[in-house]
Amino acid sequence: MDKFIELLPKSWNDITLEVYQEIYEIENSTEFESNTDFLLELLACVLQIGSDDEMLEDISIDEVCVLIDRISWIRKPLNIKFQPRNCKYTAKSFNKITLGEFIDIEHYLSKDNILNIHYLCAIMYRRVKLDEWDNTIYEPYNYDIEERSKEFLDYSIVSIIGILDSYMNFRNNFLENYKPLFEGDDHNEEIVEDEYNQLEGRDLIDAKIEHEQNKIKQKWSWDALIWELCNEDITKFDEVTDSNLILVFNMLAMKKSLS
Amino acid sequence: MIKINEFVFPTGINELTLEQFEGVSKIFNDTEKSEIDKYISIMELLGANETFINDLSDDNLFKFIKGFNTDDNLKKKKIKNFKIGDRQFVSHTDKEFVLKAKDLSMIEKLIKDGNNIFSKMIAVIFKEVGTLPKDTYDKDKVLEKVELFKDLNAGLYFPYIVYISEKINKKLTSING
Repeated sequence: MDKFIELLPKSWNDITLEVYQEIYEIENSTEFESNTDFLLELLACVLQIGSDDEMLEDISIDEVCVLIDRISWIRKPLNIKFQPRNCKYTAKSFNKITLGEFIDIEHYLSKDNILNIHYLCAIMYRRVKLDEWDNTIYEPYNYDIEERSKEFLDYSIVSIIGILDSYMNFRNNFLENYKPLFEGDDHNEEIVEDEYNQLEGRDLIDAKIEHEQNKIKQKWSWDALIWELCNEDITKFDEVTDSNLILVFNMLAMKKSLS
Repeated sequence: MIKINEFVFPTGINELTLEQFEGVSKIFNDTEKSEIDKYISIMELLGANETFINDLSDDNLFKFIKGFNTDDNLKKKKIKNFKIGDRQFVSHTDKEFVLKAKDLSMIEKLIKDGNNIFSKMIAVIFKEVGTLPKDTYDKDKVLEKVELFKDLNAGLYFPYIVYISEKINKKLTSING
């Protein structure tokens, strides 16, 4: 029992992002056939041993309860810091985020915030240097995301999770501010059917073609936006995706209000 | 035992099998039955037929109710082993019985269907001597023991049932904080 207690982390400060993601998956899993299996899996995760490890083979339920009590801090909220300690990277200001970076972050976080937070870190945390006028220059976004993201799995969760909170605040404000640009045509199928019922002949055919084209556009919306901004010139792709996100959307908002 | 007409009914946990004790517990926990109906159901569970029930007088019913007491002389000591035929079963070799987490996990999975709960508890914690480690938690082999243990005396194994139930409650308290 003492060997277990020695190995137990004492607080969230001792938990890396990778272990936090494992805890998150365990707590959200619906596959456990028994509650005791859930507790054993949780213990194995925080102890960083396999759930079939011989250390857990003969453990009594009383010992499990004692150990679970010792990690009751898991039920408490994280004490969030923003900057990983001893980190060679600095978080990029959200106001400087580019269109390409935003699209990539949206892609990763749309699958699962917690399980893909290391990709958010890989995109937002950069090496920095100062130019001749002491302005901060961020490392260009042309490194391997997969490789960079792995580095963040070993950082303490308390120093990582803050960026997710802050990013989501930025994102929600951004989407609210530019809401008219994100509102597409209403493709509710019932409304479309009602519309079809009022048309016939050539008008009906044209409406159906337009509806199908709009569905395809929605599917490819970010790509379609970039294609439009490139003026259908693929050589301009990098130029467009490296543009400041706020600048791009300010221009799009102006274009929409003038049209 | 209590004799009413031609039927002899066990009374008290020490005279019930595990299967009977479980049936009695379920009946007592049935909130939709009246107290009288509960005791009639118990008599049916313990072997009374329809004719007996139809002819049952008030006096005999109350005689049964008065005599039936599942809490009488409850044993506290946990037995370590027992034999059925040539087969030997052991719960622990140390001085005190300690419920392993793996055992409780198996019990939880088996009792989900709500049937033979007590027999399943006993079947998990009493391992057959000579069983290979890989077969200890084999579901089919455990269920075979459940069938075998249904007729064991409930009183002898009641301390385990209480112990395991307490551990389940303690675990729930630990999780919920």
